[in-house]
Amino acid sequence: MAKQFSFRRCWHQSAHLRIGVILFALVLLCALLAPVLETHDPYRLDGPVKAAPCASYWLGTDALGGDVYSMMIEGTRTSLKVGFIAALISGVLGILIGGAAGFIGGRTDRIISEMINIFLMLPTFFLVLITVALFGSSMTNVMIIIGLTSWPGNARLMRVQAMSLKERVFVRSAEALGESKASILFRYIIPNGIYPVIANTAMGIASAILMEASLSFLGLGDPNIISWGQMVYAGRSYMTSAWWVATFPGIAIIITVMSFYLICDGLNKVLNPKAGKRGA
Amino acid sequence: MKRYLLKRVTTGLLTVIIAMVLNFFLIHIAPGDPIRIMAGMDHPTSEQLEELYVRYGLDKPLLVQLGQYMVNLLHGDFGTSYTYNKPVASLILETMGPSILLALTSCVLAFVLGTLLGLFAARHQGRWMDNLLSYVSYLFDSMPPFWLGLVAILVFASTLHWLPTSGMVNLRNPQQGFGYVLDVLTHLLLPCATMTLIQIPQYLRLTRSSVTQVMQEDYITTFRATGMSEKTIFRRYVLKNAILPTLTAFGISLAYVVAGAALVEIVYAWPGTGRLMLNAINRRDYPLLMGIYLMIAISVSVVTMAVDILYAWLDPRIRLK
Amino acid sequence: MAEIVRAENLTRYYPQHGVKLNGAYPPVKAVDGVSFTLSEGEVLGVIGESGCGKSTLGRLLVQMEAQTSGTLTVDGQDASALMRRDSRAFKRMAQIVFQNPFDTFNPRFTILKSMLRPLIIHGIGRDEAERTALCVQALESAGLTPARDFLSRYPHELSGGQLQRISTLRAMMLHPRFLVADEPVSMLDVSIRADVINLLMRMAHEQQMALVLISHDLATTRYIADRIAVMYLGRFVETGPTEEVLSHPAHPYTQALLSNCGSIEHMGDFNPISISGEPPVPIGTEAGCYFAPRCFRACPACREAYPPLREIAPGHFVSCLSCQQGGVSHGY
Repeated sequence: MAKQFSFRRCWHQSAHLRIGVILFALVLLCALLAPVLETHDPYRLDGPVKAAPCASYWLGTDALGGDVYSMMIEGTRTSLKVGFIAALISGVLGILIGGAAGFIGGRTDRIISEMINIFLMLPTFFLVLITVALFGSSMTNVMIIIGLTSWPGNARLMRVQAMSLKERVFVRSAEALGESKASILFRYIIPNGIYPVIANTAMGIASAILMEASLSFLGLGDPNIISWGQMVYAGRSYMTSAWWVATFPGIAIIITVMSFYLICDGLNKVLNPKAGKRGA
Repeated sequence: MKRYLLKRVTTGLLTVIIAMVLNFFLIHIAPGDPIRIMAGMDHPTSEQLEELYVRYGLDKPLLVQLGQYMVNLLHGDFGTSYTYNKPVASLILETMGPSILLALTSCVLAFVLGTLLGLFAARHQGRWMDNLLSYVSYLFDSMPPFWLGLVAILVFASTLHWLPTSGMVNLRNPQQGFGYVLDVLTHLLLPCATMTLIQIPQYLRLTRSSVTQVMQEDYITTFRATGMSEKTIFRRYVLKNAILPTLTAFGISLAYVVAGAALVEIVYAWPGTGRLMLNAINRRDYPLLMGIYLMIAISVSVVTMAVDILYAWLDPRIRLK
Repeated sequence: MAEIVRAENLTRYYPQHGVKLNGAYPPVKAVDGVSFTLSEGEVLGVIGESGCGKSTLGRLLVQMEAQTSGTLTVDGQDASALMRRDSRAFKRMAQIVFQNPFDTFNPRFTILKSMLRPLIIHGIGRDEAERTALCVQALESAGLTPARDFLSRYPHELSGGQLQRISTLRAMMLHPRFLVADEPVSMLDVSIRADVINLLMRMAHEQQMALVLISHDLATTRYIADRIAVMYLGRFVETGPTEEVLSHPAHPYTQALLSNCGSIEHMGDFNPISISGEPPVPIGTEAGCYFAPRCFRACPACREAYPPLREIAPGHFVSCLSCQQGGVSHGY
């Protein structure tokens, strides 16, 4: 009889996981309680220009008078939104396409997996760059484009799962009982093969956040939305006179992305204990 | 081997072709008039229009245009940048040098240092050094490269004045010969350090987990049982087997060397392809942007192909897959 | 008793890929000409070593794979034609119980959900309440009580014996005319095999269903089967009423199998016959009896042509020339 998955067990076993979850909880809290935590309205630019961190502006102000601290808290929402939605799009696409390819097999599978391999070789970041430049840099576009360019990774994982699950007795048994192919794919194959894809999707959130930051830094971000990448972009030209504007948002990015990495790594260590622990 | 070669080359070619087709169709489905996009301005003169029409066959059906586009590419015509008024191909070639210098140096350094640190971490598994290294590596993994660059410039260049703030050479005081090399090196230090720090974590983690896994294999235990010293086991057997995943990652990184360190280059005003790209974005110079993308796609494809084939030649197991 | 299953010369060849210098690779002949009939309530035990093709035969009988040639008729209808026309209708008639009970159920479904699926698919029962009641009834009839308790569990929480019984009951809910049990107890502890085998036997008799039991275990087969078929390299080499075959085995292979089987009472001395050579693979078989290379009674005539099926006693058929002091030898 297999051991049941228990969060408590995972929590106790990995320090990485604990720290990651705490950090993520922090970030999530900031996003959810933004209006409460902000000291000033992040969109109003009525503070002193380039003021150093002080009592009323905890992390200083930027060149237009906006409060860096409040903008940072507001940026939490943007980052998490971009990250989750992009990862969701990429996850759903990847699961459907990869699952179908692995399950159907034959020529369909060969074509799709060749496509996946090719896509994986193309430099994604530049593709995203060009597409955003062409289609406009609104937040929606950015989310959709990142999602549409990162599904092959998930598809590859799901395909491998589908290919091996296809041979399992319970799938054969379902066929013998009369389940339709579509039903088998959605009720038997996908629910059982989804774990690695979920882990990969979590990492995808982190990389989506980094990608959005990089796009913003290149001037391809949504100018109407406050995001950490935009803040670094704006603050880069006056690092010497007002270093706080670009530095603190960067730290926010680091903390957020790191929390995802720690959670994923911690979960991995707990679920596959053989990779990395000392002894047996 | 031959079959693998054939398969690999076909995939590589297909990738390049798909990159080209993608490029082409992106312009045509994007909002806005493709002609304007290619010409780069709202009111191109009639001569410019005419030249574009001839070059790209813009009055012919879409598929013919695609064909024309690909033929142009084969002739080395990647379009003309209207910002610089020069052929894209020559622009890219000019800037490739500095890009490769920066990217290659940091790639190799990151590989060497990362692997060494990974070995160190594996040896001291579970102890505080290993833990510290793992947190530090997550730190740098999560760091946006451009942010690190900005901070590094702030600390080392602006505040401490140890190193120059930007560029590849001192434009106000140009040097010759050995002085030139030294000049470049001083300018190279910060950007290279930034890039290296960002890339070290992946090698560190890979090496560490790979070594740890190999150390647990049964054949290593057997060697221990025969009385072989830990050092010998490590040197002779563990190292060779554990290094494979790291080498693979290194191969992949090499492929992206030409893509360069675009973001870092921009921060340091390094005269590479990155800066070219930034200008292209700012001015919406699509021929230049697409040319860069294609160049990168092609070189990534070619280098990945070469690396794959090299590996297949070195490790026969891969050929059979 | 009405005839339910009629198999005529079923074959299943798997082509090998690639081409040799002198032509293509020969196909793997997993099943190479199997014929038999089964009536309502009758149990056929198919025994043989690993690799003799019995599992493939099982899959052919429920049309999980299509045969390469030969016909299968179930309840008067041609199986292949029915599968093409309306596969669900065929699946209501012919069901299968697999060898591995631990992997037979979707790990993400509760037992209730697993049991409801076939009912939903085939439109049995008017609503969920009625279907659930059917499931409860099925479990209780096999002694798995309290039924509600089992239904709310997940597969990993139950034992192999329980799972295999539930697997059988799930198949039986469709009231099939014909059930194939592919080594249903080989993965279970000996002490719990009886429950599963008894359930199968009861189902066959109560539901007037034809049952094919595939096994490599002579003891359990003897207990439940009305007739036995001994399989070697894709063919039945001997078939007949169970007791007749077990007490008077005519084929040398059967004799060797029985003599090596410790769980069967032996008349006379316990004299295990050893067969030399490796168990063969069903590729590139030559003309003549497949067992001849390893047979301890082979004579030159055996290698010329495959021995035809002869009836040596009522209902007892064997594919052997029986070359030994002429005539047929009974007993050993």
